[in-house]
Amino acid sequence: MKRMKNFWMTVVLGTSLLGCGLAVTPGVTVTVKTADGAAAEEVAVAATGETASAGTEATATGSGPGDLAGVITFDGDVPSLPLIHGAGAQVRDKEVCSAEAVPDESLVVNASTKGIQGIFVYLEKAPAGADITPAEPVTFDQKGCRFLPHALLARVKAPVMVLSDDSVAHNTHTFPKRNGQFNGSIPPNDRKGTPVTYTIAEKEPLEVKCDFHPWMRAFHLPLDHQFAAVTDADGKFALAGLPAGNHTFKVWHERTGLLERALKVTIKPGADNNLELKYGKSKFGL
Amino acid sequence: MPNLYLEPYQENGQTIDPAADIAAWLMSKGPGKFEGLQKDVEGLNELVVLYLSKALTKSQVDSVMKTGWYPATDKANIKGDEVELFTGAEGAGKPLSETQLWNYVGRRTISRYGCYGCHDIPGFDDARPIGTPLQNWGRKDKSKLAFEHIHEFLHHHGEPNGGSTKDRVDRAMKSAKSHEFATPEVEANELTAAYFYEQVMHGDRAGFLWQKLRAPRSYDFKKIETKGFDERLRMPKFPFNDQEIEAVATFVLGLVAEPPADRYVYRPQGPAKDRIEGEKLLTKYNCTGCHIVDLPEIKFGVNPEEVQPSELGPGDYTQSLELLLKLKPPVQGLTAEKLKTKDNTELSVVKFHGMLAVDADAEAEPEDQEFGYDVWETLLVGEKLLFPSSRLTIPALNRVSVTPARGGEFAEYLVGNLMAANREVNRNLAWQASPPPLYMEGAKVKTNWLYNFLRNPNQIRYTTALRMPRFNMSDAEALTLANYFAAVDGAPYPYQVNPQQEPEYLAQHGSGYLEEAWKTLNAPLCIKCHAVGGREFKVTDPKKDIRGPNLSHVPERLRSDWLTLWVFKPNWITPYTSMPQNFPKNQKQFENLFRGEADLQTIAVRDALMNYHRLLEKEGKFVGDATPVTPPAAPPAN
Repeated sequence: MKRMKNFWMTVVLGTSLLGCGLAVTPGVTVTVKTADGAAAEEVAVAATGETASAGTEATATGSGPGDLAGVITFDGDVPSLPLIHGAGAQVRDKEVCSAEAVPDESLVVNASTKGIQGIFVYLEKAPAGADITPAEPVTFDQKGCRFLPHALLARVKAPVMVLSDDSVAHNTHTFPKRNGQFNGSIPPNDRKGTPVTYTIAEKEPLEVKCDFHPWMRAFHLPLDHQFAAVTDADGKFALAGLPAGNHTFKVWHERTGLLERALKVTIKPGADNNLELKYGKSKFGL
Repeated sequence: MPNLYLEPYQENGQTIDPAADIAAWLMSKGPGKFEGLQKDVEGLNELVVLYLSKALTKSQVDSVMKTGWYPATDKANIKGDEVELFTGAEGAGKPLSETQLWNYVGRRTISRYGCYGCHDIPGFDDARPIGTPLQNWGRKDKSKLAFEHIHEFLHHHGEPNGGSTKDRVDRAMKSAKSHEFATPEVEANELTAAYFYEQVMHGDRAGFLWQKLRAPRSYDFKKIETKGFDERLRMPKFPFNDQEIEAVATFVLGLVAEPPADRYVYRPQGPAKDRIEGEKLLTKYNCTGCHIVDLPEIKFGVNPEEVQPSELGPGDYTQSLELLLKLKPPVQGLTAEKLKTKDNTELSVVKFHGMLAVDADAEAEPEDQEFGYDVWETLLVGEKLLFPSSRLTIPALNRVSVTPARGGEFAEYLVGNLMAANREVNRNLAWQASPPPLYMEGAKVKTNWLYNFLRNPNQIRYTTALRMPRFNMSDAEALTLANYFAAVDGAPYPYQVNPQQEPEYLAQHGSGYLEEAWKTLNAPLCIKCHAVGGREFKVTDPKKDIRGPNLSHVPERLRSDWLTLWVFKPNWITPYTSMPQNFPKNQKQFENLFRGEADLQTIAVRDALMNYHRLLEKEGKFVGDATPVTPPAAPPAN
């Protein structure tokens, strides 16, 4: 059944809730909300345990869930990318930002296993009938003028808490396609965190930058379900609890965009579903 | 030609002279060569005979073609294009050269089509326009209007889709009687067409002009069978829409020898006059070639109940919202129009002004394609309020129309090119590198600053790929244009005060206020992107650094309300800006400055900016760190 085409709209600001109405002009009411309230209430909603609506595209057939384990490797000699800058380089806020060398994280390949780190493997929409796990907040840190992690999965309506372990100010600027942009400064050593909440799922990962330190880039993928993974340092990923049947995955890397727009995978009940993917240097603009 | 500021500069120890580089590039192309044309000499002779027969008798024409001698003793006596054929006594007895014949036919063709009406062509300085004189056309004798077979034409044809204008008018009259027009706009359009059609039927000037502008050569209907090809009507069809046709017709009908009664003459004063005069200058200097002056208008279908209103986030202030509603009063976007989807759902049509933020994925299925737009105005959908910078994701199938921006074609071209050239340049950055939209420019900048800037544009932005040229406009023109932008936005002009410089205002804050504000401005935040407090911007990577304007220009350049909202919430002003919200309500930083209270710090930064020169003179170049950052606390020992 085809999902009805909805009109979505998000507001850059709206992250949290406190229901005090503010009359601003005749016929117009604006609600002022606070950060803590937002996180608590929105997460609580998700924690009730939703089930994917019948309106989502049904791709799964069969019975019982299955797990998918996979690995994505580099086909060819492992590339060596130059550092963004070395230790002690004359960059802005060098006491912090070049205290250690900053590597180019746009393509991270394990020298021994050739596994590629930071590739998103995900379903754009939750399979019909799948149990949706509660959304949890995630943290997005900054240290040594690098974003940690470089590739982050997030859940819609659960805040991404932006932290900083650096003694200099940063700003976090998101460039989503469907959500409103967030662009706010993050104070030095902010371990409490600033919430950034995505209100609707994106179709592809979005870029996150620090405009103060232009080399700082990361990628977020907010989804309204849990069926997504990011490859680890060995290029491995794992997805649990997929309904048995046929699924269409997207595979995305920051240098390429979509490596796979519609990767068909059949999941059998149980845990013995494996997937191996291999991509050569031409896919990464090398 | 504008001054393009092609000054030489140094890079990596080398002198780079852009003017010399451009000259070298142009010279390297060498002289161009044209390939020979395929000539049809027989056809050429036929054309010469045809054109000559308009000026000479048949026997004279035969004589010219045989002897090459044009019947005139003095070239000065030849008034027409035949001057190209004059050879004098020396040429007698020799046939005309092929070059002469080509020149004659070329010149005659230019004369016939009136190319010199738009283009400067040597030798045609005194040529007369080919069209009917329009002086006093509003009184033209109706008997002199050649309606020819237009009734029959409109009976069977006349509409862009090949349909009959008569049928269209009949339908309009039927709808008028039963009050069944889809929208008031449709009703106005159709009844206007019916009125003009009636005027055609009655041989009236208004009707003649209307049809002439819609389809100029329709008056040749059934006439070309008896006309020579060189006698056909020549007026081209201009891409006028219905409103433009009516406007041009109204103007031409108003061309009468006697001036209109004084009381009917519109003589605007004040802002209305400045707007009109400014529009003339926008055209004269082609400001709209680079800059958007009116944003695109997008219409889309939506169920208003699904629209999520904006909410203030944890970092936002109520006072910034009040200021937003003052600077950008809400505009109702809900229209009376409806959109029927494929599954017969009826959606309301909402319109808004904004910019494309995300293009549709061409590889996706049509029903999955969607566009992302950022709203630039404060939008109401019914009673739901959407703040500027709200992202609207619109399914491609629900997008009803996009009225392009007025101006800014070059900027949009540049944005596309910058994005294509570098995958790390997203649309936001590409717009920051391109000529900025002049949306609400009058509410943003002070008139006096704009006046000076237009006369001598200095560098404001460092992210741009180009610099605004100097147009050498007169003082009066610069003043008119500066006033124009203020008039468009209803902003006060020509004088503006800086309320934050008033002694009474500063006294309210007590002694030491400005000094603390100065420290806040110079805290390690603004300096990340701006030159401030006498300190230079620290360059890390010239290609990637986001460098903001030098803050010393602020007090002369920016209006107080605009600056305040800008510091509070930058993307409510410009959705694509890189300027972050630096002092959000839910954060506490620089606790030794205004107790770390972000709202006070925001106002303090504004006040320090507005008193920038006074503070720089008093405090001198900022030295040291206003807010030494303490290292993170050590983890507690277990």
